[in-house]
Amino acid sequence: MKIILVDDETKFINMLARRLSLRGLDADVAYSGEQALEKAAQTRYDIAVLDMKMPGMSGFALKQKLLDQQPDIKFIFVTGHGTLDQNGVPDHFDDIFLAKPLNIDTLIDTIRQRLNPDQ
Amino acid sequence: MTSHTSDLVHKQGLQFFGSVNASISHELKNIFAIISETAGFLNDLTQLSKQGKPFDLSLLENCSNSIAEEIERGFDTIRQMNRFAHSVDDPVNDIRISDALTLAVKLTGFLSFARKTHLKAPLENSSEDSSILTSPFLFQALIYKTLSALYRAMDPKAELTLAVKDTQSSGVTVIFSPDPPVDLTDFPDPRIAEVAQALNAAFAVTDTGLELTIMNTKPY
Repeated sequence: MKIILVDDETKFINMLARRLSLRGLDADVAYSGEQALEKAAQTRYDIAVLDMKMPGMSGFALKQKLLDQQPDIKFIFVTGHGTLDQNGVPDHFDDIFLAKPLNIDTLIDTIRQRLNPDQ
Repeated sequence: MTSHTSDLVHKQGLQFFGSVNASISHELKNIFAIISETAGFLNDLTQLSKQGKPFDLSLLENCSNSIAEEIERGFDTIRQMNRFAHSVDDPVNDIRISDALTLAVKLTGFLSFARKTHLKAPLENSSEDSSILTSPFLFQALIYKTLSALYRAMDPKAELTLAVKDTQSSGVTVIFSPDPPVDLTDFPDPRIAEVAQALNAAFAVTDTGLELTIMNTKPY
C-alpha cells in the first residue's frame, strides 16, 4: 500500500508520515498540490490524504488532477475548517472527511476501509 | 451612528467578524494538530523504549522544540484575536495606521490564499505614528477586505507591499503595490465600496496598484 499525504502544514504532515511509517505504512509527503502532482507522475499511489485548504491548489482541485493521472486512486480529505468536530463522514459528500487534530488509529482504519470497503 | 452605518456594521461587520473567526479557528486547529501528532509521536517513542528498541535521542529534543514553537505560534494567534476583538470597543477612536495594517496583514495571513506581504517603512513626510480618527472596526474590515480582494487577484507567488503616507488634508493614504501588478478594473466591488463610503475613504487605481485615502473624520 502506497500513500501520499498532502498538506502545507509541513510539521504536521512530516510527523504523520513518520507515525504511519512506525506502523508499517509507506507514506510520501507533499507540501502543495503542485508537488503532489510531480510525485504522482513518478509513483503510483493507492490513496491520497489531502488537506482541503491549501495555498494555490485546493484539495478538491488536486483530487481532479490526481484522478487524471491515476484513475484508481482513492481519497481522504482532512480539514481544519467547518463544524466537523468529530471524525466522521458528512452525509452530503461521497468522499471521507476527517477533522484535525487526527486520531492516527482512525486514520489507519479509514485508509484500510477506503481501500478494502468489503472487509 | 446613522441607520445606514448601523446596518453596515450589522450585515458586513458580522460577516467580517465571522470570516476572521473562522480563519483563526482554522489556524488554531492546525496548531493543535501539530501538537497532537507530536505528542502521539512521543508516545510512539515511549512504546519503542518499553520494547527495548533504541531510537535517536535527538528526536526527543526535536519534539520538544516543535511543541514550544507551536505554543508560541498559538499565543501569537490569540494575541491577534484579542487585538481584533478589541477593535469593537469604541465606535470611533484614534487608531495608529501602522498597528491597524500590521493586524490586518496578520489576520489575512491566516487565509489559505494569502500572499507574502511587506509593510514598508513610512514614506517621506510621514511618521511611524500616523493615526486617524475613524471607526477602528470598519477600518479593519476595509483593509482586510481590500487585502483579500488583492490576494485573490494575485498570482500565488506574487508579493504585496503596503506603505503609508500622510496627506495634506488631515488624512492618510495607504498604498497597496502588488508585484507583479494585477488587473484592478473591477475594484472595488460594491461591498468594499460601501464600507469605504461609510468611512469617508476613497480608492484610486494607479499604474502600480491601489491607493486608499481616508480622511480624518468621524464616519458616524
